[in-house]
This record gives sequence, structure tokens and C-alpha cells, in this order.
Amino acid sequence: MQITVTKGFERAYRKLSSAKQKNADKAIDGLMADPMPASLRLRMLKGSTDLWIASMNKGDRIIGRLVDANTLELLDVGEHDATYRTWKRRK
Amino acid sequence: MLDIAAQIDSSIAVVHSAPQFAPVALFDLPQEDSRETDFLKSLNRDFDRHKALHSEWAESGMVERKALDQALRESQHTLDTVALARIQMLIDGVTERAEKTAQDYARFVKSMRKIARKIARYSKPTSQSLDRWIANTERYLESEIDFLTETADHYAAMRAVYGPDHQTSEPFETAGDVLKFLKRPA
Repeated sequence: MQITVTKGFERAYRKLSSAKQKNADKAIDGLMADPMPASLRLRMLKGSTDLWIASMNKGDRIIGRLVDANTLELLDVGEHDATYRTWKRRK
Repeated sequence: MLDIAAQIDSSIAVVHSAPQFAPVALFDLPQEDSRETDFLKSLNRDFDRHKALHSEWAESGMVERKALDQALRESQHTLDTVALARIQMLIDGVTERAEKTAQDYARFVKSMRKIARKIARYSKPTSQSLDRWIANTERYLESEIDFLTETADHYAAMRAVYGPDHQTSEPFETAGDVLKFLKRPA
């Protein structure tokens, strides 16, 4: 398996806090070791045949594209913190 | 070939037609002499109605997502600045909706817990039924939020792939090489 990185992913990665960068590093490591790692809940986005999403933890995710059978392109990394924070605040 | 601009506009229209969950039962809180079973029935009815509306809406949203994804993939169309701004509107619309959903439901669940505590003073079984109802509702609502955030991600992915600034690196064979590339000095 090989990985390519888009400019957009690079920009998003640089904006992450160091703790979140560490999570992303672990996820990239996981993707290289096993293209379908159970821990990342990697799945195709519904309605797409080449775009996928992997969850690092609740709210943080990596989005990518399957360029061919052997290549994953990383498109974006980041969070949906505001939404999940609002939802969790009630607990 | 499908008109990309028309497809984006159609997706925006669907996003803006999202159903809002407004349970009637909340405006008619149970009194000590009212029948709790009626209250629970009314809640279930409202929530089932919402689930049906939401699933219909989600289904039409999926059709739109799929159509835009397919149109972009088949045409390998590069989005111009107007289309990019429209897709951003789409992402913002879905994200706002997800945040509103999270806010509304957080408030709703809090109110329901308060009602469950109130009912517990005079009917433990009804209060327990309500607790179970809240737990089931929470699971459903979390899946609704997941669906919305995933929809926003899908549109963001389309924007990233078909935007004019889509540039990709050389392929890396090891995680170490990817990380070295990402951590190189800017």
C-alpha cells in the first residue's frame, strides 16, 4: 500500500495541535500497516466508490480517496469538535 | 452530462429542507393527575413521525450526494470558484444543521431527564420506561449527527478532489516517509 498527500491535507495537518498530530501519525501508521484497520473504522463514504473516511476518535477523522487498488490519497484531517462538544456537554 | 451547477443547487435545496424535531409532548408536560402512558405514547408518536421525516430527507440527501459524486467522477470536472463557493455553502449548511441538531437534542434530552425525575416521585415504572426511551433516543440522535457530519465530510472530499488547487505529493511507501514529509520545515 502506498500513500500520497494533498496540499489540503498538509495544510490541515499543520494546523492540528501536537496531541492531535500524534493521533494522526498513529492513524497513518495504521493505514500503512493494514489498509482496513479495524481501529480506524475505515469505510467508503456512502454514495461514493472512491472516497473514504477513517475515524481516529469521536470527532476526529481522516478523509481520503482510493486512487487505485494500491494507492490511498489523503485529502483532509481534522475534527468536528463543535458538533460533538455540544452533544457531549449535556452529559 | 449532468449540469454540475444545477446539481449543487439541488443539493443545497435538499439540505435546507431538513425536518426539525419539535415534540408536542414537551409543550404539554405531565401533571400529577395526568396519565403517564398517554404522555409516553404521545412522545413515541412525535418521535416516530420525526424519524420517518428524517429518513425520507436523508434518503433524498443521499440521492443528491451520489449524483454529484458520480457526475464529478465521470466528467473529471474541475470546479470553478463559483462552484467551490456553492459547495462551501453546502458544507456550511450541513454543518450548521448538525450543530443545531446537537444543540436541540442536548436540550431535549436534558428536559426529558428532568421530566423522568419528576415522574419518578409518583410512578417508578413510568420513570424507568422514560429512562429507557431516553437511552434509545440518544442512540438514534447520535446516528443522526454521525450521518450529518459524514455528509459534510463527503462534500468536503469532493471539493478537495475536484477543486482547482488539487495537488498531490509523490507516493510514499512507508509511514515514516509520509511523516517525514508532513513534518518537514515549511
